[in-house]
Amino acid sequence: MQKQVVLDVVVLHAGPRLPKSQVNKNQAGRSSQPTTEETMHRGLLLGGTLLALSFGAGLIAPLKADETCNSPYITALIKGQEQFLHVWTLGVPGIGDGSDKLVTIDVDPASPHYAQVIDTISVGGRGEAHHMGFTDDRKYLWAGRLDDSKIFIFDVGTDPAHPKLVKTIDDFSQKTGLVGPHTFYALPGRMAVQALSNTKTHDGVTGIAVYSNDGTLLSVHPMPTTDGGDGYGYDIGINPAKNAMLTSSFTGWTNYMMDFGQLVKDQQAMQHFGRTMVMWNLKSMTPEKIFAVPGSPLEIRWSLVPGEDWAVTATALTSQLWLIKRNAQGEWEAKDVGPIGDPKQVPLPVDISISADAKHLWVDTFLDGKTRLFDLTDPEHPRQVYEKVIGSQVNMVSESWDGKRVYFTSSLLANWDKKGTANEQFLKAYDWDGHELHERFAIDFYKAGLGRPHHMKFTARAQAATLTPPLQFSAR
Amino acid sequence: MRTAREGREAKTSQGAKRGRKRSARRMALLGGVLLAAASFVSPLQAGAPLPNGAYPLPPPGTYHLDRIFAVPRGLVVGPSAIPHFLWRDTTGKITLLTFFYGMCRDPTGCPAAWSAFQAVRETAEKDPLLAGRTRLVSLSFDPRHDRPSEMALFMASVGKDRRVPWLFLTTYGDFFLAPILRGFDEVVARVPGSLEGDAFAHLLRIYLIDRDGYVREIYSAATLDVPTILNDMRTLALEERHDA
Repeated sequence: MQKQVVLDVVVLHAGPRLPKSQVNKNQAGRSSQPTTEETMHRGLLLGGTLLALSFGAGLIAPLKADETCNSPYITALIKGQEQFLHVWTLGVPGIGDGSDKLVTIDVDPASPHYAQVIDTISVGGRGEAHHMGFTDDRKYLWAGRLDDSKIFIFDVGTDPAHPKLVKTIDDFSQKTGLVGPHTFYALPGRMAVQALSNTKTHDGVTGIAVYSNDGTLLSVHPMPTTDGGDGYGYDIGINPAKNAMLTSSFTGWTNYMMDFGQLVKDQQAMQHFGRTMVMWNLKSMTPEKIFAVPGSPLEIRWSLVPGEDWAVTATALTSQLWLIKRNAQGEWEAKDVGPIGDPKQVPLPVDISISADAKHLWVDTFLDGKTRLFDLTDPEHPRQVYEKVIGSQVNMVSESWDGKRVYFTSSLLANWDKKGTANEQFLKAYDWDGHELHERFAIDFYKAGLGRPHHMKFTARAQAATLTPPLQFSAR
Repeated sequence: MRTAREGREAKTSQGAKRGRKRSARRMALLGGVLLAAASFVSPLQAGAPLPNGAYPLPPPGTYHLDRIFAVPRGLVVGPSAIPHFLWRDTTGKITLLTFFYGMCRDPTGCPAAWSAFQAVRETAEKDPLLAGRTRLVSLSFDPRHDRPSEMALFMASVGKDRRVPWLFLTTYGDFFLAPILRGFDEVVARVPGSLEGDAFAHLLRIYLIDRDGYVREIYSAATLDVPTILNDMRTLALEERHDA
């Protein structure tokens, strides 16, 4: 049975490099020079091909992303059935080996190992494992820890069923002055790392570090602290066609490492949350406009539809959806477009996932354990059309490109998760039929000895062997 | 049994036939290339205003481009078939380099890069800041089919002795190609089984390289914008002038 894995560009690195014997096989029996007919055919074909392409080759590709929430620079999109789900998991004392780990789950219904944990890589210690991001070529997955600021680079291209840890960056804070590498956002040949805090004050004033794909630090860009900027950071969303980069803001190390019950009672601490979003000139990496978005705007999702130049975010503390869009004068503006649940109950929106056609948006609210679906047909007026309790707490949500499968995990932060019996830790996989979520499988991460599951990423096996040997991470 | 003279004449005749066949091959290939080049229309014009809502490019020289990595070492060959180090064609001038293969059919791949190179060259040759300081390099990842003789045809088709040279390079085989691909982290895979021999899956990337041989920007399908490329090239040129 043919796998229904559709890659936008064939990924090129699963399996061994083509053996030389196999390479030569294609040439067996051929002379060293092509025949006249071969060359003429090639020449005519080349000419014809280029001629045909001359009418259709655009130089700016439409904005695209994978799992509907990745950088538009990431290639090899999985538009069909994803095969593997990688879950960046916080270690818990007394649970398994207690270490933070990358957990790989087979999510291909056609596989005999469907719904099973097929691989784990413990990275040692507990440092508040949080978010991950692919490099632009989708060969490597960067994963960060918010407490000790370590960054782990996994090779997920060679064999996505069994990722390999190929490099650990343990001098992030020392070299950048930043703390809490949160968002990993691919740029061509580079990785932009949005941090949450800094080494001097451990509050939310922070910046963006840019690394080469092999883990060499290239530059550091502070978040703006003047002209209304609070200096805070959280997520990155880039619109290449507009030379625009949008960032959001959360809170610093002191707050995100504090016990949640203690934090909400500390009025002084509660003042130290992000209240801005920033639109940057991407090329110059300079802030162009600062928007007042109170209540800590978190994940940013640009519409994936070409020509639709708007983005949405959700504010954690004020439980509102915000739209970032150009107004009638062509100016970018941010506006509150509606509540998520009852803001007075502080449901705490924590993650959002936009559909590929930008027609709907999943919103997870941590404290009530619900996921909500909003109709975004008119992004100025989002309308909730569905809701379901996923568990006693729920955090991350990732939907497949075709929108037919939705995955949820439970952990927010080690010190913010619920206590006692409410501290469920799970991955749950659902099918979405357009009206209802149907659970396909669930994995209890405590019973499985894994820990607290947080961020998720999809991969699939490549369809062709690469000519490109792996990067040499030890060299630089 | 042929005499020595008959043998020489026969060889001469065979040589002439081979020459005519070679000539026919080259004319066919060149014809295709020229036809394509003549009919190519760049959808973006250098210096055209960006669409409404887009942030304008910062003026050249007012922003910094990171040194992403150094161009890898490697042996390449051009039309002369004499091997030389890649650095010879990636240092001393601002270089735009892309990988390609002659049979590429992906509209967002090699043809898009070709079109961008044409547009960049046209403008750069008229710009005193760039003319004489820049070059274009197309490096094949299909050494089995893209041989030095084909490189000569490509170079002839785009015109030699121009103020912005456009070089076509290949390698002697995968053994020489692999370290170059690795150094650029250029993702290329051979997809066997096509009628015309191997096809390749690859990601479109154009590398902007400074005169010291460092990659300073990478353009992908999502960022292949000719005005942006020219802006970045001018930024590097001004940086050189400042350093000097």
